[in-house]
Amino acid sequence: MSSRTEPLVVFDSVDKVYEGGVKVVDNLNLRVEHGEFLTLIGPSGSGKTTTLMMLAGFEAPTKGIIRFDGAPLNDVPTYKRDFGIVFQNYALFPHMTVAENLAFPLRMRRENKAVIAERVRNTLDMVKLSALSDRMPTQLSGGQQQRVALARALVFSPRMVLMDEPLGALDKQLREHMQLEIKRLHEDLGIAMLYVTHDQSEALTMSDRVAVFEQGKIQQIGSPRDVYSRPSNRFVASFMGENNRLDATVAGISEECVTAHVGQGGVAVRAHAVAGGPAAGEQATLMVRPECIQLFHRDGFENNVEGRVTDVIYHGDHVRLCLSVEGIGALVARRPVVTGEPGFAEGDVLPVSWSARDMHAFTIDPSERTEGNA
Amino acid sequence: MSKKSRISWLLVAPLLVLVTVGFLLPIGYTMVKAVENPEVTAALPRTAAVLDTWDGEGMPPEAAFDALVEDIRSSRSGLEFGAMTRRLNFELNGSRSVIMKTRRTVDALDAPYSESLPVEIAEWGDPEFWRLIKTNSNPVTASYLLRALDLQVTPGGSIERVPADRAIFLDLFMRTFWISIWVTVICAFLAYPTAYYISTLSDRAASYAMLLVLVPFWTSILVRTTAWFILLQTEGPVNMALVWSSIIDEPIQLIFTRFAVYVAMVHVLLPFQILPLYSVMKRQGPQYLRAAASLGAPPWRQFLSVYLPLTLPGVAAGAAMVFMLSVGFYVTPALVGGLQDQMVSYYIAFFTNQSINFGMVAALSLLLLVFTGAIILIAHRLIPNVGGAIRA
Repeated sequence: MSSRTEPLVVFDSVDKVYEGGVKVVDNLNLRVEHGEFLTLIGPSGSGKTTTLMMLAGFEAPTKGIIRFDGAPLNDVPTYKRDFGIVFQNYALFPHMTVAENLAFPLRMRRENKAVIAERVRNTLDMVKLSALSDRMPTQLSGGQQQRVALARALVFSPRMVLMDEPLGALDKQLREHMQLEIKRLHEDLGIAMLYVTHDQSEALTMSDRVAVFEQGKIQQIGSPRDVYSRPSNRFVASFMGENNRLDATVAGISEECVTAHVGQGGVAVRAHAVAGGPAAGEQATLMVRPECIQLFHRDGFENNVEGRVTDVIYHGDHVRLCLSVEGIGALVARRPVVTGEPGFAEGDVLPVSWSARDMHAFTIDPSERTEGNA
Repeated sequence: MSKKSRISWLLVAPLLVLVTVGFLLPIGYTMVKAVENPEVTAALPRTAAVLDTWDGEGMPPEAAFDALVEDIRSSRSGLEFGAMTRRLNFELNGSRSVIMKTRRTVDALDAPYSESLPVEIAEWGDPEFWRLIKTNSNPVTASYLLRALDLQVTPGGSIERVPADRAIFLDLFMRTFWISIWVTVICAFLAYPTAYYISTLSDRAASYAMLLVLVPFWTSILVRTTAWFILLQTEGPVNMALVWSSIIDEPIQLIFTRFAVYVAMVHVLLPFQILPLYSVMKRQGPQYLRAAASLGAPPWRQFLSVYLPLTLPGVAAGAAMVFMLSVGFYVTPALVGGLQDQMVSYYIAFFTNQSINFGMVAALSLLLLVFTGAIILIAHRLIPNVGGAIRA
């Protein structure tokens, strides 16, 4: 049935409007490729979860068509869609043991007992939970429940796996461990996964592609590296990772390079030019990530200034330096802590430089201006 | 005792006092009343003392006759005498009139009474009658409890079934539990969809729907039962409506039937099933049904395999409450039921108000308590959570 040229899932001009007229998904066009790990990320209310709910069949699109393997999915009820879903709160059946929870989808498919027993055992092995098959879900830790939920979504070899913030309830260490585990399962099984999160580190570590949602629209979709280092607009840049933001006026544009004056006629800095970026004379927001700011002068870096350290914040694996730069204002730099290297102290005056390729210039459109710091 | 634990004791003290005074003492008193047997000894102390030494074989000694005449002569008035005659009449029909006749004739008799008394009143020549008095001079008796089970002690001391025309109590218990079980089942079947529907409503709509459940709940049982009494009259609105809509030709007997008892009891008790069920269903949320759907369960399987098992504790909690309350129902069957629809409480009231037999009152109450406890215990074993707290 499946033609390999066709994407696995296609959202075609899909709108979702809730009662009361709130448009949570706005003309969404999205493709999920075969075997792909696609993450939807965005702030709460951005439409990412609604998108997953529509694909799962728990919500119906107000407009538009969702296709799976070329066939329209809109009128197919959830129980016929054959998607494994991992819920935010796991939704393990509290009245069934771990093994019974896993057997449930197989029983629904009328598999015979021997097949069910074997697949339950194999799947529990896969998530390293064989020893707990007779426990009730309430007797398991959060991390174990998460694995059971994952196993239950995989045990019946679904056509696709959907995950709605599955690691949200776990502590940081466990979350990082599970990220790798899910990534490994995805690589082993080769099954397409749609993953919803608001945690950017999850999105960056696990995904083949990341779609950044805001206000019901996809702001950018691309590889984690693209989305992080080449954000296509101000929202994406500020949502993914940390940024130094400078308000500036564009003086001129040449060959991939924007020259702008910080504030009103301040120091001239150079930034990376993109299609659809600000034009000469326009107001712009310039962004550069703290880790891109170097504390020495380097040939080939277009921006070279001097800064005075106003604060040093120790983070264990790195330090954050608050710098005051004349004509620019405050900048934050992030440096790894290296044994044997002299530390920084308040009041030090240091050379500060960054490449124009690491600085992005974005237009300020009126809606964004009212939004303030997103 | 530390200050903290003194304070905790003070806090529970009012409840402790209330439970002791209002619950433990009356129950204990009832249990004692069910086996207590003071009437004969109180009214005939001398006779009882003499008969205590009598072996029960043949006729009692002359001293017993003397003591009897002395007892009866000295107790011209007094409640004790009446209580004694009722007590003996309960054991042997007709004893009351024998004693009363004795009281009327005893002044005219001459000694030796063992000869003059049986001439006037033949029963005193029968060792059986003397044995009756001897048996009931015992401070405790099982006869109330046995009678409540349609059993009696023969004068010979063995236990036998009472004659069929007087055997009503086993039937009464069976009927009480049968009606209660059906009321419980009907309530469960009516409450489940109702509670489910309310749990799916928006908060605002649900609060109005809950009001419809709660307003009857807050109304007195007597008022609601009286309403049914009026509705179900032969000339009442229900019959009139049925005749008017040509469903029936003639008004049918609705009031004073088992049907009326079921209708009124279910109406009164339904909120007790709806409320715990609603609270369990309200906490369910959509996630388990969604999970079941995503795993391939069609709607009916989602209900049977997931929703029903998860809401069963609510059914169990409500059913236990409905059952225990309906077992003790009095006003409703008394008003809308016929004689064949009365439950144990009706007879408890009868023995309290009409025949003033507190031994039977206590025995019926005690057995009702024991049977109900046993049924709840069995149900608890079969279905976990019945009668227990609702688990989240």
